[in-house]
Amino acid sequence: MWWIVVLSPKPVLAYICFVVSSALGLTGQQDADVARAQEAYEALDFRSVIPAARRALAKPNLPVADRIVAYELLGFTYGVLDSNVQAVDAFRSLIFLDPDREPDAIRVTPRITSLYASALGQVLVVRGVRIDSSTFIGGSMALPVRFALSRPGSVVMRVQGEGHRARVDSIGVVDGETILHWDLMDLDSLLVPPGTYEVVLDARFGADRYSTRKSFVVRHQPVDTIPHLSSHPDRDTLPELTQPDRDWKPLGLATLYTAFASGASLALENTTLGSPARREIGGVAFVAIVTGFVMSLKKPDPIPVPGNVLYNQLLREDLARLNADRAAENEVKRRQTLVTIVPLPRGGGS
Amino acid sequence: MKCGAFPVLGVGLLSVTSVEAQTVRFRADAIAVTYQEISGTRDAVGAGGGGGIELRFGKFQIDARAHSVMIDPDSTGLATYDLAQIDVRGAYRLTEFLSLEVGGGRRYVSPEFAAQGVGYTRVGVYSENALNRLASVWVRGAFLPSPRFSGGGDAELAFEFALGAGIGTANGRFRFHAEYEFQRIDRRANDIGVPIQQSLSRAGIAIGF
Repeated sequence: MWWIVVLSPKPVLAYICFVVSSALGLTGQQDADVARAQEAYEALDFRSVIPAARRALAKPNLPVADRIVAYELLGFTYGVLDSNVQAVDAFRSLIFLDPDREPDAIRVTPRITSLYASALGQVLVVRGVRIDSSTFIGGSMALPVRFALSRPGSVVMRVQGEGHRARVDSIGVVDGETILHWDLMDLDSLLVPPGTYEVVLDARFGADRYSTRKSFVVRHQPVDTIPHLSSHPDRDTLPELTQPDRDWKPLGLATLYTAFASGASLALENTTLGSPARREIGGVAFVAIVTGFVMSLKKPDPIPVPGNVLYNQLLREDLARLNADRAAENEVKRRQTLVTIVPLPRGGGS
Repeated sequence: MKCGAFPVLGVGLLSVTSVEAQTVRFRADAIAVTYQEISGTRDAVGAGGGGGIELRFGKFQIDARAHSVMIDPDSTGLATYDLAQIDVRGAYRLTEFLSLEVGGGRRYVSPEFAAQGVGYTRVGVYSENALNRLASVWVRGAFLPSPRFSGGGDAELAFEFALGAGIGTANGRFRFHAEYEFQRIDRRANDIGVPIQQSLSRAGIAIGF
């Protein structure tokens, strides 16, 4: 009460109580004694807070939320009344019920914060149990479970699900924030099936024991495969054919062949047989030359570009290799499972 | 040999299509012939029809043809007669444009002795050049060693050559062609020259598979 003596003006106490009540969020309490204690605390009637809170705590079926508020009011009130032992005792009970609850260091007085820290140092609890939402390929990563011990102790972590085997992990004497990992494998080293699981952390130091649990959901889904490539991802194919300029080669060839045959016919015919026949060679020669002429007028056939053909062949081989790699990778992916972790609202401690 | 023999030949040739061929082509031709024998006074012209089959596989080519024409002699007092001819050629492509060709043939005359029946073998070359994917021209020339005649005798010189042009679809399914064949055989009988010369043109269509 030293600070009240020093700062005794009532406006200060009223402000403190207002701040504390705001920090507690004490609205809509169901239990009448807890509500009465709250009203007395807000009215700075500290002597009335204690019996009301005690009456509430004596009720065996008092809801945990009310019990937490009652212990907190007791702790604050004993702190204000300078009853340090009782304040620490109330805070210890509060910490067992809600180890993650902390007085707002900005809104409550340093004295109360100090008493709370003193109580925290006297008990063994697991605080700040956190499992982050995450998605990863099963077997490639482990699920981190973060927590902190209020004071040094050993921890055993168990993971259990409905009808599923538990996996046990443990760590020696630790202090402060710690991370334990679970690889989502069961005792047969198989990925656990989808479902709701629970991490149970058992802390122990000497005779002090504390256990808390945190639930989360494991969901499975197939890993996305890589699509098959229909074209090279980095390079485009080149045209394998090119359109040559029009030329008169067909006419030239037809004329050459016709001249050869006609010349041979004229030169080698047997003159003793009289006037030689001309109609056959004439008709066919005409057809051959006309064919060559027409083919010369026609747009030439595209011709292959050897360099481009070779380049495209190399691209096709590279594409086939890429697709083979992708197929092998997809084969692996089809055997994999994408695991999603979704933490559920926290469970209690004991 | 009567014309009725050609269907038999065709059936026989069709059975060859079981050979592992890259191209099988059947052809039907219209034929025009100028046939000269002995002297200039015995010129004869005729027309008829024919057909054949052509197989191409790898570097090999086999060509079998037959035709029959009715000859109408210019000379007075000579009756018309039938002239039928069978030719078989086998070629092996030595280069892109040149093939070695061997084969044989026989010409039948009906009625017998209206003209000389001839049997011959041939050794020569064949050159085909594609003008583009649709058309090609070709020439062939062959020496005919030791031809045989129905009337006896021999030949000091016998050869033939040909010119052809064809145009068709790019896939080779249909093809029109025109071809000229010249054959000269300097026959001698009893040390008397009785030469034979034939100019033949054919035009037709071929269907390929």
